[in-house]
Amino acid sequence: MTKILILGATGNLASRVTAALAGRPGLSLRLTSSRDDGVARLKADWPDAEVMRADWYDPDGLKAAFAGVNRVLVIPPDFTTDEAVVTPNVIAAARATPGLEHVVRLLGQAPDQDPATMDPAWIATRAGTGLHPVAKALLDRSGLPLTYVNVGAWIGFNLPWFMARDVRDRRQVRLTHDALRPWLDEADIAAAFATVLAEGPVRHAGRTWLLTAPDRYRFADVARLIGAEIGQDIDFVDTGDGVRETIGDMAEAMLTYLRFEQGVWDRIPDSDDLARLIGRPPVALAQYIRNHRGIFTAMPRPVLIVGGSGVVGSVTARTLRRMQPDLPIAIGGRNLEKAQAVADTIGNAVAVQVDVDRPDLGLSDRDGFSAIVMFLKDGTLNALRLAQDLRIPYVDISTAAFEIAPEVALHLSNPVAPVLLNGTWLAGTALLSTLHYAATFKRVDAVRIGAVLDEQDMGGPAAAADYERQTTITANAMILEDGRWTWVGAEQGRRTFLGPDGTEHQGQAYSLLDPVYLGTALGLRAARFDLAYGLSAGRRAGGAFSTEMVIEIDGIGQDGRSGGMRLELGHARGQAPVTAVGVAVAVERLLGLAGGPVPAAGLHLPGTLIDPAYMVERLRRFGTTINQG
Amino acid sequence: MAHHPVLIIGGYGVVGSRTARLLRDRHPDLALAIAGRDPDRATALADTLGRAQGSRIDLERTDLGLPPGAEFSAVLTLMKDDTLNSLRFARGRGIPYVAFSDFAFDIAPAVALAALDPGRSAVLMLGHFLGGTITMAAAQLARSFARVDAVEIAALFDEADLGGGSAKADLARVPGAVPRPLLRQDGRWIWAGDGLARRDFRSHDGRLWQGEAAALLDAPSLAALTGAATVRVDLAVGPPASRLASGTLSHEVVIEIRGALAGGRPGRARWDLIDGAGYSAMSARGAALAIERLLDLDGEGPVAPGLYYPETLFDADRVVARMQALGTVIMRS
Repeated sequence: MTKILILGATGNLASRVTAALAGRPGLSLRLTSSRDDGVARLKADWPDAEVMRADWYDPDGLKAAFAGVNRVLVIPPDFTTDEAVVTPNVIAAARATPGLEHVVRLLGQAPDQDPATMDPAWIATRAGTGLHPVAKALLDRSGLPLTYVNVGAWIGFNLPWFMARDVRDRRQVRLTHDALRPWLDEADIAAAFATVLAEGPVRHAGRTWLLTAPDRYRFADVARLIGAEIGQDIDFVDTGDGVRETIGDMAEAMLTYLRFEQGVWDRIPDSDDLARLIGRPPVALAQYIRNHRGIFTAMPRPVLIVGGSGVVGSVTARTLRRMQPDLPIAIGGRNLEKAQAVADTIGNAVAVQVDVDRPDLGLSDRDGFSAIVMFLKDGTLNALRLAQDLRIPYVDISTAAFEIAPEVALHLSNPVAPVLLNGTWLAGTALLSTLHYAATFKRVDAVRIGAVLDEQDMGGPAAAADYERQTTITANAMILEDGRWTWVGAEQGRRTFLGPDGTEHQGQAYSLLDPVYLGTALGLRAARFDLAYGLSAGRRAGGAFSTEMVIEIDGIGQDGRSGGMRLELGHARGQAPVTAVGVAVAVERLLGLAGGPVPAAGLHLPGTLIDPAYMVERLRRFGTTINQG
Repeated sequence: MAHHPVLIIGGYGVVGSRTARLLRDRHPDLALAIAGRDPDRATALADTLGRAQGSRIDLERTDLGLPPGAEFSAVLTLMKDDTLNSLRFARGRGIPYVAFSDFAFDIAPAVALAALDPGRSAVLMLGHFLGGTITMAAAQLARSFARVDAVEIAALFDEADLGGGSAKADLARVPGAVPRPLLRQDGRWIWAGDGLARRDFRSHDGRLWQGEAAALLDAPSLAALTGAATVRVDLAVGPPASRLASGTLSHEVVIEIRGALAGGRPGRARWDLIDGAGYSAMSARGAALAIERLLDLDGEGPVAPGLYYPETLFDADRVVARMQALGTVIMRS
């Protein structure tokens, strides 16, 4: 087992590297934060990792954090880090650690920058190109087994910081010291770090990777891309006023920084290192803007989560809050006190009493919602009728493939709302992960999804009712076999599959929309979903329940040869956090906050709306491990 | 009006041949392609119809085994196509499609295919009882109500009239291997267990029958259309009184609606539909009406691409008028 230390693991980039590395076979993680709240958050987010408090201004504490690790990731924050102190501390801790084989360090600079010839005012900003040359000069002389990952680009998460408010409030981008700058998605940068850390020193020590992008943009180009995505004219205004109004205290340092930084871009050559490290082309700026379009648009009215105080609903509300800090949420439940208690922990959330037996759901102010998400099976369909009255999106995660006819009929009778039929395994997460990896094939012939649901991980009464209803209505299931949609009985519907931990599971075919969508969209000859209800890998190993999925894809690869792929997905805390990501991503998409504008009225399935790559990235970020087995 | 032929898959079967004859009678110039597993039977029927060709169909193949370049104006699939190849064939050509054999629990693959690319062609889900004609009759009856509380439909099949091979195969599929009957009861959709799956009803002559609920698409359609809290379709098999009297084949359907009339008075209405031509002929009328509507042979206007249930496509008055013109007797009470 190789132990990787991630310093400052709550950071913007480091947290994403953590997500990209979590659950990889053969690796264990030690995560640090210098703050108590950071330590608490890391423990909550990454239950399988070792979490420590460590401050890199404290040499002894840093040595304790290094003790026993094999590889370390160092990513300093801009504007605050004193490299002259921190970097020697890191070097000393590394030298004091006998098993340390690899130090991976972020840079952000032109390859040829020398602190000796740089303007002291530039270095004093302690940001990016002003910060990293100082550290590099020290590290170059350290003799440590180093890999530099030099991000020669602006990172997408600067968009909300520098541009979002002006776009929303003024239809403008206000910045100055323009240049042709490349842009990268932070998730791609994190994926590159993860590759370097997972592959280790044999392949990477002594190397410098330059992460940049061939497409470069002036601020006016960025304004145009944002405008194209949100359907408005956005003008670029060359001024520092936006920076001054937005970032307050640090504005002058930022403007000074931009003045110097403006000149480095000519000295950063094109490079395809990033694509080579992550095995695919990086996300282009236009796609990044599409994935984050909500930061540029006015926030919608609250999304009503019916069942939001339940086991899975409350996790979903929290996940959605983390993805969309400004999105108002309404927690709907039968019990107002319980709903209020959840709303209080979410922030920017209200509680509403919901009675699905009433046509108006018992809501007094029913007009105040932007979408309705159902965490319980609405046998009345009153909530869909309400969504139609309000012409707002509706999400159903509880209706199996054989049950959809009434909803389809009600939609067709009044097709004015976008209806997402998401009666899939864990809210589209298995389906979209399958689509993401199926895209690497030239042709796919068969997909078999096997899922392990721990008997302690049914979720709340709503989930239990779904399972009970769907398995008592029929022990039979519809599968695609030999090119034919076939109903099979209990016996014929059995399938044995191997879990990620090597356990042999007895699965039973289950009529979810996953095989239906995958079978039709990919033109498969065979597709099925099988559920093994019992003991998860987590409990088998003596711990708490976990959840696992094994997705097998058969087809013809790009090389024209037939081949198969086995994907293993898992979450150490069971199905709820995975379902939560599935629903939260669907809500983002339906509200036009990510992936495109609010979809047209009509019947939608997760595969028709949601970008599979985006879902896979979000799953990883929230603790789902996805590995090729 | 220069249409390519209408491809009728299962075209020489009990429902298919009646559909083809109805279309021929009403539209002497409409080209028809009669397709089935046996090309000789298909050709034999085509020859008697005129302006028709017979073809062998192979649902295992994405080109359905039809000659390359063969063009059609619509596809009517009267046998259960569990490959969906005939639907893909229609969508690949951007022409309307009628799915005639799907129970309520069967529709997901076709709906998914339609949702992938809704603008490609019109897809009509017409697995309804008697080709959607009963749902449309109930829709017309419901119009006299200000509020509909219950729509209950019962049918009495003549044992001598259980359709051809496809219909029998469909009925054989229902018990055991598939889910329970779907019905709406007191405002909720349920898959009825043994207790709720049966309902007693009286046929026109006053005899009592025990009907068995069926997972037909009529219940979802009528619930969506009327908002009724209770909607169900129950089937029973036995000799209808009309056959006992006349000695010829007969089929009876009872439509009962409860609700509130204008002004809020509680109201009830019942139609008894009796047809001496039998179950298959009534189904064929629904299929023929669907083709006429999708190709705008009835002149009511072109049909946009998209997914349809019959109630979103047909005009109830016209359907009821056609049923009566073709021999269905409707007794109102």
